[in-house]
Amino acid sequence: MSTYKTNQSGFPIHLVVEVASPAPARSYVEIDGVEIIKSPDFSGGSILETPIGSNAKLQGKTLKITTIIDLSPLTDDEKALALNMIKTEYTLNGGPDGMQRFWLLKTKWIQIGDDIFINKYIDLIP
Amino acid sequence: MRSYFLYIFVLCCSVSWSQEGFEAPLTNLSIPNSPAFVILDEAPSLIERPGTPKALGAELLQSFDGGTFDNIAVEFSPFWLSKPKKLTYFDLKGLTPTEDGKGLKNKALNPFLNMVVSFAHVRNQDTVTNISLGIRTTLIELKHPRDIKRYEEGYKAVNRLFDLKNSIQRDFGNEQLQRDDPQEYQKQFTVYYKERLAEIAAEQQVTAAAILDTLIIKPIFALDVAAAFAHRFYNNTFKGSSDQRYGFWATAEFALPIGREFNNTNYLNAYAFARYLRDEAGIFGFNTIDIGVKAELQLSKIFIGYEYIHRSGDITDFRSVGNIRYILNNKIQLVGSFGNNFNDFNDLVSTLGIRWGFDSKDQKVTFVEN
Repeated sequence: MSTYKTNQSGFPIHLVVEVASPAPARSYVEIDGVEIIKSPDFSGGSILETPIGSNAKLQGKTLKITTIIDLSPLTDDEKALALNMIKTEYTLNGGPDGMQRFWLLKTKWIQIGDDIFINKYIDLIP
Repeated sequence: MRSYFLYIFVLCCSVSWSQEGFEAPLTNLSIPNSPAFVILDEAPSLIERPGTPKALGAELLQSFDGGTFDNIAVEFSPFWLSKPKKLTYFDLKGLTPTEDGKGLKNKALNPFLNMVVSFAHVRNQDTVTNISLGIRTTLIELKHPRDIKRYEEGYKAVNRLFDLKNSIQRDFGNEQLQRDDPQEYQKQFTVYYKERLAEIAAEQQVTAAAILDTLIIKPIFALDVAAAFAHRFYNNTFKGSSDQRYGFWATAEFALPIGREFNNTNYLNAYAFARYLRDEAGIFGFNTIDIGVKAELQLSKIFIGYEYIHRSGDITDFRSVGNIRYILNNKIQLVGSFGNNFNDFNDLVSTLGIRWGFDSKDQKVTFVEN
C-alpha cells in the first residue's frame, strides 16, 4: 500500500503524472472517487505539475490515478515491445516529507485485449 | 568482421531449416527499401522513403532467374528496443504536443525513432557474393498544418473513447476488492469490461486503431539520409579476393495530396536523390556522384513511378527504371521494376518481388525445395 504523509497546513500538494508510451494514453485523477483532473488532449497521458488541494483538505483521503493505454494502433510485434517501453511514474510534493515518487508494479496492470488499465492508489495519511 | 558475425546471427535468427525445406519466421515485416540493398543497386527502386519503423523486418526479393535466398535483407529498428524517458504516440507520427498540451505541431527532427539498420546478402552472379550493412533515418519530416489540425480533431475521438473506458471502470466500482485482492478484481473486471465494450461496439468504434486508421497523413516534405557499406566476395571463398563499396545518400520527398478528403490516400510524389558512392573493385574501382529524380503517382493501393539517376565522376552512366508496387493487403505487397541499370553490360533491371508485412505473431512462410 502506498502512502503519502500530510499535515494540517493549508500548503498545497502538487501532483505530476509522467507517462511514456508509444501507444495512445490518457490519465485520470480522483480523490475519494471524485474526478478532479484528466490529462490534456495531446499530452500522451502525462499531467504537468498540478496542485490537487491543501494538506489539511486532503488528509485521510485516497488519491487514485488511472492511466489507460490503447495498444490497438500498433502491430502485434510492436505491442509486445511496447509493453517493455511503457512507464508510468507519479510524483507528490508539498507534504511534510517533501517529494516522493510512486509507480505501480507491472504485475498489477490489467490488460484486456489491447487496453491496459494502470490504477495507482495512494493514501494521504496524517 | 564484427558486422559479419552480427549479420550471420541475425540471419540465423530469421531463418530456420526443416527437413521438408526451410521456414523463414516472418515477424513484423513492413518493408522499406533496405539501405543494404540500395548500396548494391539491387533494390527495385533506389529512390524510396522507408515506411513505419519496425523492430525487425526482412525482405526477400526473387528475380525471375534467381534462387530464393540469393537476395535477402534483414532490418532492425533500434528505437523499439529502447526505453525513452519521454515518449508519446505522437512521436511515432512525427508530431509533438504544443507546450500547453492542447494541440500538436511538427516535431521536425526525429532521427532515432526512424532509424533502421539493415543487413543484406545478394548473389548477383554465380561466383560473386555481397554482404552489406546499412543505416537509414528520416532527418526532417514536415506535415501540412491543415493535416495536423485534421489529426487533432480525429484524435479527440480517441480521447472520448478513453473517457468512455474510464467510465466503465468507474461503473464497475469494487475499488476495495482491487486493493485487497488485485487478481480477483482483474478476473471480475475483465468479464464486466468485455461485456460492456461489446455492447458499445455495436454503435461506435471502440479501438483507437479504428479511429486513427482513417487519419493517415503523409508529410508534405521529408528528408531521409542513409549510409551503407558492402563487402564483395569472389568465388564463394572468405579468404579469396574481395573488395568493398560504400556510400552515403539523401532522399527528399515532396508529397502533394490529390484532394483533401478525410481519408485521402491519393498522392503525387516527387523525389530528389543524391548519393556519393565509392567502389574499390581493383582497377574497376570508381568514385561517383549520383543525382536522381523520381515521380510517383500513388492511387490508394497502387504506386506507379519512374526514376532517372545520372552518374558522374569517374564514370558517366545512368539508371532509368520504371517501378510498380501494389498493396495486395496489409500483409503482402507486390513490387516490380523494369529498365536500364548502371553498367555497360548486365544492365537490365527486371525484378518481380514480394514484400511481406506480417503484423501478427508466429507467422511463417514455408519454402519447399523441389
